[in-house]
Amino acid sequence: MPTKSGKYWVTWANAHAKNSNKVDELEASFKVNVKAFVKVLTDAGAAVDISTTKRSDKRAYLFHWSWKISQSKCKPSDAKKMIGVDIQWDHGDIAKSKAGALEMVQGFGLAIPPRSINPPSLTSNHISGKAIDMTIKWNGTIKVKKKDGTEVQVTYSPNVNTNTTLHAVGDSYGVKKLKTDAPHWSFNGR
Amino acid sequence: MNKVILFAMVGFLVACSDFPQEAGVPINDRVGWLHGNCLAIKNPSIKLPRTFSIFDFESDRRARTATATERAQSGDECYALLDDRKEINSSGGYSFYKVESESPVNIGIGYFDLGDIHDLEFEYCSATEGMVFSISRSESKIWEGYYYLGYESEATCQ
Repeated sequence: MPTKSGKYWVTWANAHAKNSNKVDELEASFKVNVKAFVKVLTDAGAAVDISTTKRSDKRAYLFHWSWKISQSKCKPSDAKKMIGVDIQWDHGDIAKSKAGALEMVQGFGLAIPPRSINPPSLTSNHISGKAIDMTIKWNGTIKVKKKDGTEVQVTYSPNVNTNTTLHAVGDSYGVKKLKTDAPHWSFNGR
Repeated sequence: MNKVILFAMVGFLVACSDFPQEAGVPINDRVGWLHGNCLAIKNPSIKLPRTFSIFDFESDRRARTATATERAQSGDECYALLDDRKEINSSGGYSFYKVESESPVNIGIGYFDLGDIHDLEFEYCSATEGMVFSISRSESKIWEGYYYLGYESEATCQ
């Protein structure tokens, strides 16, 4: 028996569809690369704070369709089904379906920039376990080893997006920086 | 001759000033972003209550007034402090304040003591995992803020 969209699903997702911050939950080859990169950073004296590794596909599903239905970007009946998420998007009444979806958008705190047409993604590097969000901090300059063994001096910058020396170290381990989002690193830089 | 040098120096200082400083207060202390009725700003010591202006991207890009009333502590009070995003937004140096306004806020830039803003361009775009807010003058960026949302969507930032 499906449960209608609404606040219930926010509580459900926060209990059953949480994102992970564990490196061990990353995809196998990326996990090895991240562990090596994080180790050289911490060995050099940096503090690495990991906030997100693998994201829940169920959570992304709830984000995506609640956003689209609440913003009239699709009909409630357009929402695809997902195994393990027994949600009823279509309440049989468009206003009620939109209200249920909007409760979820608000509960999840999804952003709705004016005139936006881009819902939260159903797929991503995080969902496939190939991305990590982390904050890396240290004081002054540290010496960090690249994968080939060469040592480079990396000076701290409060804007990690512009610290190309650090990006190059990550790159050598197959952990690539996305330069628009401060905490985000992935297998392909996206 | 001395007057000429003095005028030249004053002119140089004005030209080199990116932005009017309120008694030397950095712009990051006076500008932040909002998602809902919560101001995120890199200023932990705003004297409350504090009236400020919001450049509201929703309502025809007009500025309106609101009041920061108290520090926000949790995701119940502030979207930026929801579990998925609290850690990154806090580590970005932001402090979070609950905001009272005549009508609800969606997305905006909050500021105070900016003086005349007629030549300023307020903008936002979507990054992969968040939003980038900025203020520019004559196509030169004078302030930028990043809001981490903790989920991915298609980026619109150039």
